[in-house]
Amino acid sequence: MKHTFNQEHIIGMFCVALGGLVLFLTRNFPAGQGNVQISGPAFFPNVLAIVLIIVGIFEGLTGSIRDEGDFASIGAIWRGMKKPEFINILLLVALFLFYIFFVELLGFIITTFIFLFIVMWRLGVPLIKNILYSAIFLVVIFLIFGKLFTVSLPSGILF
Amino acid sequence: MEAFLSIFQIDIIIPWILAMGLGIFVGGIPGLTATMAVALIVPLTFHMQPIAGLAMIIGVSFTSIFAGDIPATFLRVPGTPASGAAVLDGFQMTKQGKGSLAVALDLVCSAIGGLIGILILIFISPALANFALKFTHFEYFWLGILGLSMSAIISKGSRIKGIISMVVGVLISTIGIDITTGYPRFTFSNTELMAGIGFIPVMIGLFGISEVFRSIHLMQDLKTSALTEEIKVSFKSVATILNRNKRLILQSSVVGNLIGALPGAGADIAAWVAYGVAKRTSKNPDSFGTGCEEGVIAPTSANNAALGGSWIPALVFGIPGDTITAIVLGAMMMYGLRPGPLIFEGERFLVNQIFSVGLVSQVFLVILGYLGIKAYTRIFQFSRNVVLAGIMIFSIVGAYAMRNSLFDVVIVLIFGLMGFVMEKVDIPLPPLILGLILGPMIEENLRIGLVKTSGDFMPFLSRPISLSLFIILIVLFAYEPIRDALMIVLKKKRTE
Repeated sequence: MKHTFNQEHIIGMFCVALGGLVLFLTRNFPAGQGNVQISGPAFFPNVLAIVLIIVGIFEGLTGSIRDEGDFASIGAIWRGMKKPEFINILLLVALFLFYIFFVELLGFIITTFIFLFIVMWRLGVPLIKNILYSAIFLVVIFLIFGKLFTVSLPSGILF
Repeated sequence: MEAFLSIFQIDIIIPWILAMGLGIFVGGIPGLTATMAVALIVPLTFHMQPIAGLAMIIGVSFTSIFAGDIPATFLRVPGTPASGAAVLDGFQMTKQGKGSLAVALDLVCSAIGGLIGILILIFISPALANFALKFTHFEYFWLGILGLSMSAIISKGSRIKGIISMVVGVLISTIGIDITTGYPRFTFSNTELMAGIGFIPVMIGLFGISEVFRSIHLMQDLKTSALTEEIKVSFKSVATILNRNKRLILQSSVVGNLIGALPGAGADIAAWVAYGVAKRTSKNPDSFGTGCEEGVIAPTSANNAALGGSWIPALVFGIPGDTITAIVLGAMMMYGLRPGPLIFEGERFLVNQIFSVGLVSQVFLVILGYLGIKAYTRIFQFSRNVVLAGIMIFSIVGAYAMRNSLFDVVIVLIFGLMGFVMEKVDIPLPPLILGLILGPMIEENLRIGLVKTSGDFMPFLSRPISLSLFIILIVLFAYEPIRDALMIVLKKKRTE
């Protein structure tokens, strides 16, 4: 089956959808001083939403004029993600999420070490070097942020 | 002269140089800003004589702004917000094996920009401060729009995509509590969103983490050095380039200084605007973004020149030009000084000492900056897979450290993915950053201005300065089409 969209179409549709979403979300915002809309909180986002919808339509039309009826660039992203690379990106996102959700439970030291160890393991750093570099990064970050800048790094249940 | 010589005392010079060294170290780490470096220094200065404390503060601000350009040039990770624009051509030069030249050019331009900024501060600060004080909501609105218009100039490729990126950036800036009415917008009852989306995590995500995603996606050269070329700083080749770009350095430094002098507009905006103006006035605008020397000279001269500019309202009227001078004003009051017009009468010797420190700091900047480049080069010469892991963890902890908030780490991840996808579909990243920085300034001034005039837009055009800014805006956009049309007419006439 022949695809009928190209990159510009998709960007255009995204802009129109985002602009529409903003207009939808601002519909219940209160009016400003003296019931004047221009001083209300919805005024500026609405102006931006309308601009976004207009440029979105324009972008979509540009896509139609270009008339390359396939998923040229969007598809290329996914095609370009050959299996190991795709897994690496997913793993990276998963590691970020692991860090965000577990750092307050496990504490900065353990979570950071696990994060660094897995990232470097996946990127092919040899085991001994991996452990060494993970430890060095950990100590350096702890000294800079925790000691010098007295940032309260999450301590967790163990440390 | 007496004031100039008086700063060369051991108890001033040693803490001054140490502070500048700290600035090199702090500025090069993503997430640690020049403001944080100054805030760290201030408590150490309370037991010193005022000029020693002020020398530390002035010195650390110059070195940290420069050092932010080092990872921006080598790794595409801006060390401080002021280095966002330095990424564009600096990193492209590194990819072409000209990283040494880019960073050397950056260092010298930072020092020259800083020097010009201080000279402007010395000679025309009262006049400039008076001019800056004439800016009201109407003028600030046009200034913001003028800044935004730069996004159309700095974008490579499709103008429409540049506008989309800019509008999305401004829209993101509307998330959080509305300053004018106190109403929470697009927060979905989330307390973290009430404070808005921080500029630093967005920038770390868009430029730094997206680059990590891109490298990992390509899976190329992971075991080679992150910085493959041998970094040799050659001041001789820099001198040749500077010689043919004298006008650009002066232009960018003046633009940076003027923007720095406006309260609320700092080195970050100055760098972007100077980059846009440089592209607009260049003979080869298409080379911008591909690793051209002009693209390095303009933002790096402007961001350091802006520091001198931010001291103008601070020193003359006691109004902070940016967050750094806000801290400085607090510190000066702690020293028992009263910044404002009277300081030029009662503390003339100290004011001259401050000017002298600003000038001499540029010499120290070149020396310490050179050592800083050498030190960071060694770090970046580790294999790429180790450096990528380092960028990630420093980005995470740096984003967290800004507000002790894991929410900012989420922002880094979201914008990292967003930047990766945006680049894949050829949507430029810089306009989004510009929109995010300038959005609040434009909205606040537009709305307050309209409320003052009961919805009448005419005062935005009828005041002399606002009208001038509006005309500049029109000229910026109309210049190219009019020039092209004139060229066509002239060609036709010649052929006839």
